Amino acid sequence: MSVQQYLQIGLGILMLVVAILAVESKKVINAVIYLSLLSLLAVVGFALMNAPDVAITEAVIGSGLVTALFVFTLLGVNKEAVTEGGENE
Amino acid sequence: MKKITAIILVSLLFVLLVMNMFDSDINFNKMDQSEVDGQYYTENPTSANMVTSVVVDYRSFDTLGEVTVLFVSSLGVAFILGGLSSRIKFKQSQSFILKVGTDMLFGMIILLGAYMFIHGHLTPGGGFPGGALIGAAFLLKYIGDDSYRAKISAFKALEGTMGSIYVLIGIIGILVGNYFLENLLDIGTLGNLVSGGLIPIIYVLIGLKVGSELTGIFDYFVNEEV
Repeated sequence: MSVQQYLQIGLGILMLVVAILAVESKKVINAVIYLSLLSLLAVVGFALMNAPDVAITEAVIGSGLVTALFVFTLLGVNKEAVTEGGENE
Repeated sequence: MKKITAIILVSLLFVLLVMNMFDSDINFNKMDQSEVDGQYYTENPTSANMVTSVVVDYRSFDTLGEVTVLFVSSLGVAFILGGLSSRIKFKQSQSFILKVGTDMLFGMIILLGAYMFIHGHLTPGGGFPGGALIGAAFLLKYIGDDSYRAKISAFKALEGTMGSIYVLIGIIGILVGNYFLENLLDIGTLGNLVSGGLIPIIYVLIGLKVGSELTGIFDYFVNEEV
């Protein structure tokens, strides 16, 4: 196997870990940030697979705009969730 | 008057699509015929970026569907959040450095987005990422300034105009050529800035449409109940 393939396997394992962290995190805002991190790792994956078009779109949409929309929604729904990290039952 | 215009346009589009499906001379299924397959795409690219020549030329009808999906989602956001009018106030006030920094980055990101959809037929990128970058630039303005509001009515007009022109270009393809969104213009030399026929025009339209749509979505999201 080439170096690139090892890199891709390591990236995939890292993405799995981050995805599990996003599901298991107690605070909603932490889950949103983990989701953003997952998108960022997916960008690296797409770039390694020679798909720059998809990588650009994922970088802008996945880790930028969607995270912002989640944070704005949290701000609108429950202000403590973002600013003070309050517990969400 | 608006309703009558809309009814006339929709029925015209319907008649044209039905004509396409049943008339054997004007074949709607031309892209699915056996001589036009993956091999054909790679051997006859219509732009220097081969992904673009498939997405915007050979399979442009699919792109119309994607643009419609984004339009419907923006419509849904406007429908649900349209009644909220006061702007969200962040608990932490923006510092001077953040304001100046976002103002500086704003122009650069807009420029990168415009570059991306103008050069969509030459380099990776295209209408959708370019438009999303423009939306991200306006998001940055919203974060950097508590009282900033984009001129949403102007963006709405831009969005509607660009979408209509895109569909009109497609209908012209049916009327003059053979199928929806046919590339009627001269393709020219691959790799030049002015090449690929209709592809740069369609990408500029899609880029402006996506950018204004995403900006509208953000404007609705930063509102809250009074």
